[in-house]
Amino acid sequence: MGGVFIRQVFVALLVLVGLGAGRPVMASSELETRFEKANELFGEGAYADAAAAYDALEKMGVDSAVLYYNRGNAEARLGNAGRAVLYYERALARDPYHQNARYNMNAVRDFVARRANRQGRDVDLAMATGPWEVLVERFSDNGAAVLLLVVYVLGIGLILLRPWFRSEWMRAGLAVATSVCLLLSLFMGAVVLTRRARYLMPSAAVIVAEEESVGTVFELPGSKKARFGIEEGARVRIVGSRDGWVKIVDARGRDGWISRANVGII
Amino acid sequence: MRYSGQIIVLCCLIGVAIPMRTAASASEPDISVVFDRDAILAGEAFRLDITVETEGNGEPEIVLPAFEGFEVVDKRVSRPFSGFSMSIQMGTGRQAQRIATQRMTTRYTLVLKGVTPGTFRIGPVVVKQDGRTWKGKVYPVEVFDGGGVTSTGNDADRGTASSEHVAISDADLQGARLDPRYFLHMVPSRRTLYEGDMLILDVYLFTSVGNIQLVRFDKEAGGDGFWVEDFEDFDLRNHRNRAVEIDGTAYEQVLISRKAMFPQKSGRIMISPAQLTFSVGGGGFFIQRGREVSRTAAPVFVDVRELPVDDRPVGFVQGHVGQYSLFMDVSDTEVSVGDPVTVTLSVRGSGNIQRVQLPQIPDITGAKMYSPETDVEMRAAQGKVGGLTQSKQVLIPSEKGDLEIPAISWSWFDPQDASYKTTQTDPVTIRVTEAAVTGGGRSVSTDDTGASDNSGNGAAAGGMASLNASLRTIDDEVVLTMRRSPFFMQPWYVAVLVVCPLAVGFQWTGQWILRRRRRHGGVYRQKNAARKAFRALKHETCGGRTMSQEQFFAVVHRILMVFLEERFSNAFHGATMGEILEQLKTCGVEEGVAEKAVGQLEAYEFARFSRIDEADRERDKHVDQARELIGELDKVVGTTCATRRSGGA
Repeated sequence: MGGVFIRQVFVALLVLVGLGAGRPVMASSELETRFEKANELFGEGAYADAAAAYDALEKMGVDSAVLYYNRGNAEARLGNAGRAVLYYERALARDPYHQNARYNMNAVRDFVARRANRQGRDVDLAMATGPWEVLVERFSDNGAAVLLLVVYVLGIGLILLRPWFRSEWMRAGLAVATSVCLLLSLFMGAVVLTRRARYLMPSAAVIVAEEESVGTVFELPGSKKARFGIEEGARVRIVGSRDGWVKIVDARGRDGWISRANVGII
Repeated sequence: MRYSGQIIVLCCLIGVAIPMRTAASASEPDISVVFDRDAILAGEAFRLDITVETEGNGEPEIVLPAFEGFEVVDKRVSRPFSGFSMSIQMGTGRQAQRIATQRMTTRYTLVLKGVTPGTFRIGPVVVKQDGRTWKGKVYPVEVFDGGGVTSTGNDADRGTASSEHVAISDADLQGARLDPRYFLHMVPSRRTLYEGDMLILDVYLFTSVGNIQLVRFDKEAGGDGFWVEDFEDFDLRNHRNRAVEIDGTAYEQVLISRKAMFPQKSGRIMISPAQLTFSVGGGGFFIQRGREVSRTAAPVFVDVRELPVDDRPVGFVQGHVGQYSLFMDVSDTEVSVGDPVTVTLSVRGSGNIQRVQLPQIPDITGAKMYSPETDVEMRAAQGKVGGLTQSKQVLIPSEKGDLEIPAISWSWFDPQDASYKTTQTDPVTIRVTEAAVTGGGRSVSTDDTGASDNSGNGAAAGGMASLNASLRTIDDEVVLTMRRSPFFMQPWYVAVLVVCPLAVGFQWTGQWILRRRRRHGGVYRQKNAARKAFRALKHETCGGRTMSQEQFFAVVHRILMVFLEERFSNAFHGATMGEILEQLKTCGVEEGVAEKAVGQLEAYEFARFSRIDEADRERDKHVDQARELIGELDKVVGTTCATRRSGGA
């Protein structure tokens, strides 16, 4: 009787895990070969071909920090500073601790800023963020989800274990550990909710060069009345969209409309 | 390893207050340069107002440009607004940081005189504050020899505070909706003009009664077919009212609105009437509110002529009407490969500058051209509308040699001369040399943020080539993951989050039930004793036909004894039949029923050891008797024997 119950529980757990749990599936050997081929093209200096090969991998569903980082490098070599920053940002969104991506992104932004300064323009390319935003960006989507699950299940497990602890000091220790776990669960829950909102409604974007009118933010979608210029590689926040236009807010809080083709969502 | 950094962040949060280190830094200053006229004649003095609004920690350092080609006749500095500061205390103890932000407005009023005719550049104004440097715009200024372009408008002095109003004539009052007490009337500066040219529309209120207060414009003058601009410096208080007489009635004429209007189509166009609401008869000792009166002006019609078709230049853009000048400026004429060069095209003058489209610089072989960035500064003041539109286009030479930016021509229609005019910039040659060796560019940062150095040897100094040399190379590690929803979007994740509290809920519910049963266990047993006994009789004696007689009666005896113990919460096992009888009586069982129970127990006891086998039908009869007895005993009102005994005592 007991054996049957345990087997049923085990099968149920397997079904739950089968619904989507577990680490991301590793790429097949074909994808790895394509990735290595793209890296070889980069090494040979064929940056456009390498960028196309990375793009093909992205279209095949590969979603990896290393892929975006390499793609960013190819775009930088091609002189597309805006697109390079976009892919570095994407790499950092997948892996916030990718040091090389952060370094290269800062270098490209620095380059764009210096170029603008030499032309008499002072620019803010990075979006100013509050402490909470900085903290949330330190977690990846899955990293935050896993940490929440760990502290949450641990806290619940400690609550369930309480009846088995009889001595007073052990119960006190258990209460402290449970409180810490539940407080961390609250914190991680807030992080996960923030990241979930960003996932469902992505608003962080980067200005990229696609059209002739790049860098000009207009009064109204499609109007000729320019409001201000914006550099490629600048991080912006999308707050609206209409007919191929998006309304953006830049680092200085200025807002306006720009063609959708000139904005890359992180 | 993948989540190690995140785990460290999480751990750092435990019991650690995060010091908030926020540095206050200067924000971009607002630099405004205003000329008092558009056309400058050689030898004529003109006024230049430079206003710099700064916000930051330290004192701003403002460096005015050298006014080459001009003689500085007078220079005055004023600070009409300064000293406002805001302080914020961040953190506690040693982490405490005081942030003070100071806003300051500095105004330079210069009187300059053009020395010789020609094109000169004024600017940029440089502002340094808190270690940062900003540069304003460069303004090209053309100084004409003698009879240059005169200011726009039929009455250029209309807008100044000291100027007199246009005299009211019968012609000006034509079409007015006269009213003996008050009426509204619109007066255009001209009734015939070219498409795209400017007219000034004044709206007057004529009143024969005093004590009138303006409330609101219900409807502004204008309508389809006009581009309307408000004058920035228009202020009712700057205009003196005028006493006039119309048809023997004395009125006070009050200028209440002045706008610049640019017709956008030809033909007879109506300027839709303004509607004004004002208060009459208010004030007094108790400041009572007056009666609100609304008046609408009569519409005004203007004849707008089409721009002449004859002699229209090729590439002329509709809307280029006014008096303009075109300038081209190049940031550097000698650069290295990869260095950016900014080509600035400017059109400055009087007219509807918002509608001016700057000419395009054609593609240049040997250089990558970036999209131009256009900026428009329009100013409507002192009875004139004009300004500057400027496009900055970056080109990056990709090979050494000479790059030539060809001459660029641009046309507009001058309504004063009623003719088209075309101007052309001079071609510019940019000498491009080999890229400078930068020696590796920036130093490599090893801190967490990978922040770049500020040594000035960074990527921008050597162009894109040195940037690429300084970038870290690609990652060969093959760690490819497929795109999929994050864990928190997957159903199993939500299920786990939901199930965990349910487990706690189940546990608490179970504990509560156990505690409750433990507390009220006797009552439960009493209430359920008969039902339990009936169930036992049904299930345990159903195999009576296969059981031996001893087994059958032993089962029935046991069921009856268990029922008695549970129903009366008393231990009957081991007691004699006499003791059982007494105890049942004590528990409130009627004597007859008690004796019947004891009798049946004795009968079962006896039947267990009897050698006479009873038929199956007899066994069923015993079961029915036992059920009947249990039913009778269950009807006994009372609790436990122990309770009764204690109560009796």
